[in-house]
Amino acid sequence: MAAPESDGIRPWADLPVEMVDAIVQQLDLFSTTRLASVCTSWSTAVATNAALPFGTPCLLMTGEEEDDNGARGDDHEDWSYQLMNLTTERGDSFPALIRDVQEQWWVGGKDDWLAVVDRYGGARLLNPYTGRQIDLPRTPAAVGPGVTNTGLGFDRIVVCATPSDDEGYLVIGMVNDYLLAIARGRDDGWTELRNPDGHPAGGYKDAVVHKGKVFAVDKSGSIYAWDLQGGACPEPEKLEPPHIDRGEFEHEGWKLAESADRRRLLLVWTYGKMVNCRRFKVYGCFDYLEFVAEGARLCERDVDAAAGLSDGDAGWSPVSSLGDHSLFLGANYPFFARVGNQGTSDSDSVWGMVRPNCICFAKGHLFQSQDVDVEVFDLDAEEYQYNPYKLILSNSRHYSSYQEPIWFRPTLKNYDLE
Amino acid sequence: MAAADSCDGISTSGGGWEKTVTLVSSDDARFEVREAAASLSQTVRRMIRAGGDGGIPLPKVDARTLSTVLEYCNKHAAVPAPAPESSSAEAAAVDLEWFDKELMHVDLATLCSLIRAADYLEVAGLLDLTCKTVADMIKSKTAEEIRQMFGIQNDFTPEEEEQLSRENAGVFE
Repeated sequence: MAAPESDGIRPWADLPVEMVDAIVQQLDLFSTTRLASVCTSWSTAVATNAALPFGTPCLLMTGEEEDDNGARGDDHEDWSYQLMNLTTERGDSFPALIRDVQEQWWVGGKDDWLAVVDRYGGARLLNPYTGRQIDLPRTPAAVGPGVTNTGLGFDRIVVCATPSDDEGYLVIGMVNDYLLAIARGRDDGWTELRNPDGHPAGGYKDAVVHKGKVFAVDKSGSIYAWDLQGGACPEPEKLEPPHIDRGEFEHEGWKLAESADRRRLLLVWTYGKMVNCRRFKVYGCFDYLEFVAEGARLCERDVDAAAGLSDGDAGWSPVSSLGDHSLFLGANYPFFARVGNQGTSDSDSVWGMVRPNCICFAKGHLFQSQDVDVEVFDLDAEEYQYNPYKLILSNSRHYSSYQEPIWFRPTLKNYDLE
Repeated sequence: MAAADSCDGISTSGGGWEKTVTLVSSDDARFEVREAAASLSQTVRRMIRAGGDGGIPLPKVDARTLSTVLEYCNKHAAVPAPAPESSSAEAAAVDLEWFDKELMHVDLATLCSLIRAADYLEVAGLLDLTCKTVADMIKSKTAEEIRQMFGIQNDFTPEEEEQLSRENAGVFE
């Protein structure tokens, strides 16, 4: 090692890898990605640091709870969150600092972007790596008959495409389960999607974009499809759910996703029970009955296949394995990820809660529960439909700082370019 | 309780005798340091064990940097270990925190030398302190702001920038 003060050498850029690692150890993950964009030697140090969870699905959530006195020491910052990696046996937490989200709550996200809402009906997309923010149009003024607007605006914003995508962003806003509206990067307002015959049964539970159409599933499992190509908003096509033997389970939940190759629509059916819950929302707390899943099943269909949209459940086929991928659902846009321990053979590795071939739910608008933050259904387990892994992660219920956990896959790339 | 007339060991208060070692910087400055303080450096501790005369040579640390490192070591090694819940323990911790903060009021070139010295000398506490100081300067800044602050050239070729983005975007699927 050369003496640091010698002329002609670059003291900071040439900092040895172990010292860059030592700095990174004191740094949050989003700042680390920016550090990696500074110069090639720092980039290499970060890219080769096996301790960092880049590429691994993590839960982005509220940071560690303050102590009983409410003090968090000198380091306390309002924008302090954490990324929790649950693929390891004990779960590893990485600090994540996000600026400018005080008094805002994330209700969706995809890739590098989060959708956040404030209490005044404002909504925006936010990139926690770069700090870039893009305001979404104001909440639609007209909310359908019989629908109470909480004033908060959207309960969930399904981010189908982000501002980083070539075509610009595409989001689906969900208001109180009974109103879906879309907004695109070029739009100056929201376009409401026409409800089928007035109302979807029991409200919408989830929505995705697949093959150029918006697909939404309602409480009964019926699926509606709106073609985005047409100018005026058309009446939706209806797609019946597959026949499912409900058995002893009276209650169910539905989620939609795209298959990993994007060719088929996936329907995730969860079944379980209703439990008493207490929820803290922007305007205080209220008690309610909440669905908690006890089991999950998957089926898929090609929506373009000859069977057609309205041809009963013939088009559906069950999915019994996701291979070495897992499916991540929640407030985030659904995604598949290969969950693996780099460097160790699978037989040696000790898995955490999140492992291959699982359906991983994070609490969200469609899966909200005070009792459980995460549920993981392991398709490899013999009786996977029962006894999912459940985990309560967050103790904090402070309404101003609490964020619901959302799946977020940190990536390392050159954010200097954006 | 027991009488003070038992004579077992060395008084550390009131100017009692303590063993010292001599450290020699890269530019041949000699520092006589209490062994307890010098031993905060694992590197020095190993060299003390190995023995030898004429001082311990530290060819990778210059006098200016070494004096700051030793300032840190002297302060941190001097801290007695009183009963954990006593008010003096709390006061000592506050004092130490204040000392650390003051010690980090240095220019960036010095800070860089200190990180390298703390790493080479294996002074864990000082390495944490210096790296924390750098981390606090870096966090929430853009790459370009960091470059300007630390005088770092953007040495990515356009191809590398592109590749770094691509590789990581394509990790999955």
